[in-house]
Amino acid sequence: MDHTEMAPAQDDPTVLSDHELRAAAQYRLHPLSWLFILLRQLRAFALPLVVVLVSGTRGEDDKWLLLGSSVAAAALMAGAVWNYLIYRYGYLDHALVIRSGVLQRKLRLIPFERIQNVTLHQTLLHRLAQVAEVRLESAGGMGKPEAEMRVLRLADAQLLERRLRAGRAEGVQTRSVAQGVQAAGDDDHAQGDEEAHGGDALWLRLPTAELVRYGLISNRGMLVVLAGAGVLTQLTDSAFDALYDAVYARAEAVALDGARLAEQLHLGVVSLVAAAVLLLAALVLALRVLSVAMAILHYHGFRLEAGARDLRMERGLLSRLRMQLPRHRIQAYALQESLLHRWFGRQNLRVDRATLEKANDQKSMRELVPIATPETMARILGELLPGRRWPLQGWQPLHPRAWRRKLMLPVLLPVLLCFGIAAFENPLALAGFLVLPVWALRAKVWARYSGWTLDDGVIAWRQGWLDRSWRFAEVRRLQGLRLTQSPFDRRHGMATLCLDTIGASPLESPLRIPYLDVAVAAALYERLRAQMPRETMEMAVPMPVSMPMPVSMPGREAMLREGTAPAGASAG
Amino acid sequence: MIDPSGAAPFDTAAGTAAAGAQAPPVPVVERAPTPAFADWPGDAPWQALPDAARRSFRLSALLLAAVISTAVGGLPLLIAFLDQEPELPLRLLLTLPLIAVIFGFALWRASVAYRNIRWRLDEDGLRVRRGRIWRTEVLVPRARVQHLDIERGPIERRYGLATLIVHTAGTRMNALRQPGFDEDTAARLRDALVPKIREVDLSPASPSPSPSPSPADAAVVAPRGD
Repeated sequence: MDHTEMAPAQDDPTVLSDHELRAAAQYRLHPLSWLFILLRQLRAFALPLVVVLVSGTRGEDDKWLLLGSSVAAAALMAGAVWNYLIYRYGYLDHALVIRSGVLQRKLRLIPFERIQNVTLHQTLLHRLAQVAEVRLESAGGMGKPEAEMRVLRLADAQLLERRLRAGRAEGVQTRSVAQGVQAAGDDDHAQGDEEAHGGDALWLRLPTAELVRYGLISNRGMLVVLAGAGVLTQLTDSAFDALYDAVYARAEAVALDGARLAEQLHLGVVSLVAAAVLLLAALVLALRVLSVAMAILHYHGFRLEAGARDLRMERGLLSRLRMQLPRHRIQAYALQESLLHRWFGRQNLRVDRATLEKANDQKSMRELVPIATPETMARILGELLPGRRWPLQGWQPLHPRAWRRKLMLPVLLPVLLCFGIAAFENPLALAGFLVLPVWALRAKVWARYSGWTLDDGVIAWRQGWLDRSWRFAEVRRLQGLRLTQSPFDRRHGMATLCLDTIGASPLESPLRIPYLDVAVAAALYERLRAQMPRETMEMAVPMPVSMPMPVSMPGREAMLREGTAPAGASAG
Repeated sequence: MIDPSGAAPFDTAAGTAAAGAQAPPVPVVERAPTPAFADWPGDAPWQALPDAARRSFRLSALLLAAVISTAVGGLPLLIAFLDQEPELPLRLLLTLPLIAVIFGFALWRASVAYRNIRWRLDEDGLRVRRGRIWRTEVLVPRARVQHLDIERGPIERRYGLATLIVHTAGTRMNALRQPGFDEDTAARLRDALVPKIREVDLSPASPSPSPSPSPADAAVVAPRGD
């Protein structure tokens, strides 16, 4: 979309001249935006700067360093201010206009319909200044936002969000109706607000008690500690060596003190073990407390709202996030109920979006419902699924011998290992076989619970024994089918059906139904094939089967190439 | 297309009309629910690859085997030779059977793979079956095809073959890659699978409330190849 120079067309009133476009872009960023841009740029230099300041004090070099950094800082500031002076945005009735670029000027037209997601982000600093960062995402772009507006007054940002939403909804309804000329950007900022707000429903709010439960269940604290440990090990041979040594020495001293104390108190083995257990318990407790703190930090004030076309999420204690997800962009669902979830009577829902996103993006709406009771979850899923109901009906069992397959695979290696150790090292290793009944029980329970269903255009797979998970998708969102049969499958008369969707997260288990009776698998494959959309992507309109297929023709291919922008990622 | 007896099995009425009267009727499969895995790798509606593909597969397998046996057998031998180790003849004796096994396995795998590949194009889309021991049947629905590539490596060029790659928007199965097609077959498969909605998209946005292409519309926008 860069450098949009639209040729003025005579008969199309919606095409505006370059001059008119420039005139339409009449709003500026917040007057303090240069400060936030500067802060952001400085953040990239912060660590090197600190290292230099701490380590380097060598007279002559120092002067040059100081000079260099002040020149750089001045240049950055000039750039930031210049950017503020240049940057303008404005509204047409079908698109957003953005003028930007410090040296190379850009004039961008972003049609409302192309904008898939508007993210409002406010850090603590932003909130003090009553401003927000706005990120506009479109379908393609490899996860790179279409535009980033840094920063807008909060009221302006919310206005922008509402206008985009209203414009998108309107675009769908009235695109075909002839549009009048519109040199937009008058003061009727509030136009379309009522439309955007009509029909919004609050689906979920998370009070602090829920967040505490979420923190206890999710155990995010562990991830942070692991990441911290990783960073520490990386730092050992760098400038932080001294710091690391100091910490290590301190820890050692504490440990020695502890040992001496234990000696003085004449503690026996039992007490030592008890102390160790206590210490461990304290550690676990600390981790959980950290998890709860992080849950509150990220999800405080969580709201999930639903409009007719979009889902909206708002959350965050210090830095607030406000995001949107068009309903049709949800590709597949993952509902999870771990053992802890079951103890608390809660569930967790994540969705795959049709977007390339980083694996652990905090700013994504992948975790659509962080925590909710099964009843709330059923209500939300009932709204989202085409059949308007959850739980789904008509669950079908797996092959009767599925439990044997489930038992064999994980048990084989440990059994061989036990035998090996027992034969060559210690016969006591045979005690390892005591866990076999547990594994058999697990396989049995798993096989009895697991199953699939094809209900109202939703194909679902559930599994679990102590924990439970459901993975499901609408059949019209499926991208491909694969039926496989391994030699083991063949022996039992089984087959595995794999279903492919857009943007399936690598962190989720794949949508794959194993251990099916081969006849059942083939029948399901045929049923899915018959229900998958024909020919058109967006509308699922069946095409006549007998339509003559065009044979290759020179020129046709080139013609098609022109028309095939990579639009597919958004479709389906 | 030139050889009427080799008329594409996936052409529908239009294709056969162009190919001539004596071309066999097109086996566009009429929803025949063939039970999967019952008749592996499958008869009549399923198409095998041309015979040249067997040779092409074998040649590729031989090249791969050559690379592997150089790494596994050849290099240690060379080092032993340069070091002037006394047991060189013994090593040679041990290495040669190993290399023979590698080559034999490669050739065997190539022909097993060739014998078990079947494909079929019907109103649903392209299906491909592969494998003898681990059996797989993949279906890429027509409506899900994003774009198509045809690749010709040096070996395939030698035999007049091509690799067809069907891309979808999916994640784990985002590209179905099948080597060993006739160049001609690959090209026509590609043309038959090109998404048709795009042809409708080429026209300016129509003011009609329902943009679903009626068959008549589609026929107008997508000209017949004659």
